[in-house]
Amino acid sequence: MTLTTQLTGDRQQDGARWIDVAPENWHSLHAELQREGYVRLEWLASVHEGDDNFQIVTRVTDVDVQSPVMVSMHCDSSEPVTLSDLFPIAQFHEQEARQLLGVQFAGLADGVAFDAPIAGHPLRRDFALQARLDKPWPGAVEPDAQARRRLTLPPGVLAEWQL
Amino acid sequence: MTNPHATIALHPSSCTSCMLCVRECPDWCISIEAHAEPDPDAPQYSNARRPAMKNVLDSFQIDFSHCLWCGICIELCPFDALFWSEKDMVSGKSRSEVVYGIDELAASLPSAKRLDGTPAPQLDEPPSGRRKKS
Repeated sequence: MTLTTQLTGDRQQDGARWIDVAPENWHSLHAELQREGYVRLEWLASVHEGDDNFQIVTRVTDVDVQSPVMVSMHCDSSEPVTLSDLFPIAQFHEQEARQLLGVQFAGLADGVAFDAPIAGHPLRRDFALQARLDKPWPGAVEPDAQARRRLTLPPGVLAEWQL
Repeated sequence: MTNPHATIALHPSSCTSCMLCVRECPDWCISIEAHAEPDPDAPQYSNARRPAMKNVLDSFQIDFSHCLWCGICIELCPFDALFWSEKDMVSGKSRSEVVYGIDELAASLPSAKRLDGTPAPQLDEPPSGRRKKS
């Protein structure tokens, strides 16, 4: 399958075709894939990469579910365009990303993925988990105080959260 | 046994208090208290800046109310001190009853197995890992 949309990357990996695309081609690429027979959006996932950078990945397959295509883009929180007009299931995943990560998808309907009240965006890397604030890190114990080893820090915990 | 990963067993004399399991545990459920004392078995060098020390384990706790059963501590332990055990995990009326100390963790040793399926060392056996036999 050759695509007319401009791609920034195209490779075979883990039994799937991985396509990287710029944010402005995100919607048009999915529309083209859908015209090519890739009518099934299996999921859409968003990952926070620090600051205002996000990676958004979709997995799209044809009706045989034999040749999956993974589409990936790197964007900031205001760049993405919704895919819910092409694939209705995308609405849930995009509302989830909006609620948990603060990614704003242009054209996405109002509403929330989860009914529970969620303060802030807990899946962002700079979100301080209560469990990490309540308790000092057990790994800070150094049995041999004179050993003068390099000071170890808790993984994934920012300095300003420390007790 | 339907659940071979029921509890975690500790062989206390194998543990060197290296703190690796504590620092790698994803939800901070292991805690160790230990102190260092001079190692009488270590070679004595006349130009040593300080005597060779060894860590002595004072307390080792796994809080099973937080544990994920991920097994990272068991796979990571470089001294073969932690094992999966088939001893049943017993629930408790309060959280403190599922915080296991050295004695409870060592009580899981008889049904504990290494990752390769061979039986784990028992309390009266010497350290079987890389820790020096003394």
